[in-house]
Amino acid sequence: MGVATSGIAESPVAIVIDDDAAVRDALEELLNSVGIDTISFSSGQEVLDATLPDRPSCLVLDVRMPGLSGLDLQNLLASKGIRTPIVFLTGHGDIAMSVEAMKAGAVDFLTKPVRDQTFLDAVSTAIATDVARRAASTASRNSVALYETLTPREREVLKLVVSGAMNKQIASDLGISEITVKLHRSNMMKKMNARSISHLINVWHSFPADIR
Amino acid sequence: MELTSTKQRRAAALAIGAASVLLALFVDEPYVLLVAVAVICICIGWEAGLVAVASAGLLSSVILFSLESGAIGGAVRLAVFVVAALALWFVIKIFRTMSFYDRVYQGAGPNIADIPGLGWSAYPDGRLRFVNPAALEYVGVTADEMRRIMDGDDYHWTQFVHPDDVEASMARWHHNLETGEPVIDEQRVRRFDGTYRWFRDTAVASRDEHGRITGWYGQMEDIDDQKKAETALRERERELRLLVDTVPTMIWLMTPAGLPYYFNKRFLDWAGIDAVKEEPRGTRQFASHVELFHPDDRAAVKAVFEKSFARGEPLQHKGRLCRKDGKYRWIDSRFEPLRDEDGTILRWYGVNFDIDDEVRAQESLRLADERLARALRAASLSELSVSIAHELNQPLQAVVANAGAFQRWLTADPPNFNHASRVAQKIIRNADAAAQVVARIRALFSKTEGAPHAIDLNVVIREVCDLLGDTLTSSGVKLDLHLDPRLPATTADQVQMEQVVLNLVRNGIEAMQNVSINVRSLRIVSRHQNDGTVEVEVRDRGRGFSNPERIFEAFYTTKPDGMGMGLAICRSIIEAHYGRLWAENVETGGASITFSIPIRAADSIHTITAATADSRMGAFRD
Repeated sequence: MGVATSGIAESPVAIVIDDDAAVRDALEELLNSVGIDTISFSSGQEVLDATLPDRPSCLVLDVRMPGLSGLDLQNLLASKGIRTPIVFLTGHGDIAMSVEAMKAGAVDFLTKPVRDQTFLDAVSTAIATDVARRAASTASRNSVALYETLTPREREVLKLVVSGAMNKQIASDLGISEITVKLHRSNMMKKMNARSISHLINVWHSFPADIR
Repeated sequence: MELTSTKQRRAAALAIGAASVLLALFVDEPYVLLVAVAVICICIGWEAGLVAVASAGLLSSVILFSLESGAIGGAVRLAVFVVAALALWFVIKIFRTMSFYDRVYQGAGPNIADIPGLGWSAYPDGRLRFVNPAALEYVGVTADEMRRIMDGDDYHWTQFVHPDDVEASMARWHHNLETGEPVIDEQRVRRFDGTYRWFRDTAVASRDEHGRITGWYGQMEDIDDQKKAETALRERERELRLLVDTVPTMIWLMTPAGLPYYFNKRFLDWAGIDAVKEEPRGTRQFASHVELFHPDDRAAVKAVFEKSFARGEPLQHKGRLCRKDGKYRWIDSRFEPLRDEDGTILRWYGVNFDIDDEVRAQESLRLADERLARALRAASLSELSVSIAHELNQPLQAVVANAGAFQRWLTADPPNFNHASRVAQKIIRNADAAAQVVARIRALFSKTEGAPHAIDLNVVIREVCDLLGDTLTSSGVKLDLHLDPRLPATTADQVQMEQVVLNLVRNGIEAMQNVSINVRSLRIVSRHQNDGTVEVEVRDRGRGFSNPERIFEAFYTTKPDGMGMGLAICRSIIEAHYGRLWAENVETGGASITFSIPIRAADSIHTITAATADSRMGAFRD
């Protein structure tokens, strides 16, 4: 329910999770009034069963819910590798609980009833965080795709280049001539869309560990 | 005719002797004198008899030589006479000795053969002379064997005495032989089967007319059973004493008048009473015993004791008794009177149990209970408030969010009135939901409302005091009830009245905690006022109120863990009953809180207003 109407791929969406329909509806109304699309769920389990949209998003999560509590859901999502930022809402501010939630990566912990602007600010921050996170993640994914196009010899050269080796050293390590190294290196830089060595090093560090 | 006394015997002997002398002179026949010799020998003694023989010889020579028959025949006859007289004297001497012992056996002395038990006799020098058949039978020897034993060694009979007793017995026997004192001895004597049994040996010396000891006559009585019983008795007594001294209880005895005269060891050790230095038993005054109790308990202990002693009823009381280290410990004391057949009290048996540890454990348990109850109350209140807050926060959150959206649709460019109108509808629904939450909470608490009916406030006060009995005891508060016995019944909600009284009494108790005063007393007075009201006053001796007017404000508290709701609730309840609740400081120290309610308010109390409903929730829990 409450599926966003926007067709633009990168427009943000807030995912509201609250067992109280009136609260859910009101929060959606508020978010919609500032142009944020919303999806809503009435329980943590529904969130786990659903496929979340591949868009910049944030979770607006009530701590106190029947079944899975907000904190339980936070932990379960983290264990599935879903790192969507979370804004918590709670009926009563409990310092211990808020500390736990913040440590686990919550963006904010708000006490009901929360002022509309405070709430919207928190959601905006969360979405901004997610945009950045997604950008980093997309860049990384693209670089990996480029890496896949390299020949085995080019990959070897890349590894030695980012470790700081000079052409002469690479040639002796691989047992090939310095001219051949220069050729591989030039092809590798082109395929990786690397403008400079430092750019190449940044891309390399965004690679998943198994490649490195 | 029997001549029993020496004098009579001598008189008779002299008379017969004189007669025979006269007869001899008259008939000139000296042989008649033999009669005189015999009489003197028999009746007076053999020494006198020898003198008589000599005298008779002289007299017969006078008679014989004065006769005309001449000297030749006279000399021969004289010689024959003297020989005959000597022979007569000798024979009489032998028989006289024999008949003397016969006389002792059968006459003056006991018949050893017939006496019960083992009989014996001994010579003056201590040698055994005779043992009776019972004794022979006991030791298991025949008369002949015994005779050989007796004839052999002087003290061969000692073989029948237990080796451990021989030395002491011999020493005493020699002592008796020297002094002639009667023998009273106890020794173990061997029976024929080799077992030893205890005998009591009693013997007396038999004496002749000169007071010389002529022999010893003794009897031995089997006292083995008695002796064993005595030993067993001593053992039992020892056991009993051991028991009395080692049972983990203090035992003591008192005279019928209540004077302690015995304390068991445990008591002496516990209380540090020095049994030796203590005044003579029975003189230790009851009053001084009472002084061993804690000053706070003395009056009560004394009253209980005196009542019990006066009526002769068993007694039980608890109090703090001073231990030897000066610490007062709780003891449970019980007494029972011991009576004779007539019902007169002979003595009192008392036991004291040291129950201090239990009492303190109970006390701390009670304190823990109270803390727990307090914590639970606090927890349930906060739980409740959390749940109420959540219930109310949800619609409020919806209102706030929708209102924000409403505002944004209106201020948008261009304003979106359709959306704004839709959101406004939602706001109205949210506000309704919030109102329903409040109504639900109200409904929840109005369920506990009881119907007002005629109640006796004295009963309410007593029930509350019973309920708080443990708290009163543990906080050392003495209750001082002055309840008007003619207090009229009043119409009120019983549970609510209990809540009010409970709150006031609790406040009074708590006001006196951490206050150093001698007597923590809480005075509760009920009275009937002339203006048609009943009044209940609870007066403590605490510090009083620093601000008597503020105390009825909600959330005003002077207690660290107080909610500040108690008195506010009390006032709401009393006012709902058309009464008044007010507080004053007492000039002599402490605070007084009084409420008064009209006697007939039954018609006017229909509902307790909703405004008091949520405070009443506090009254039930605080």
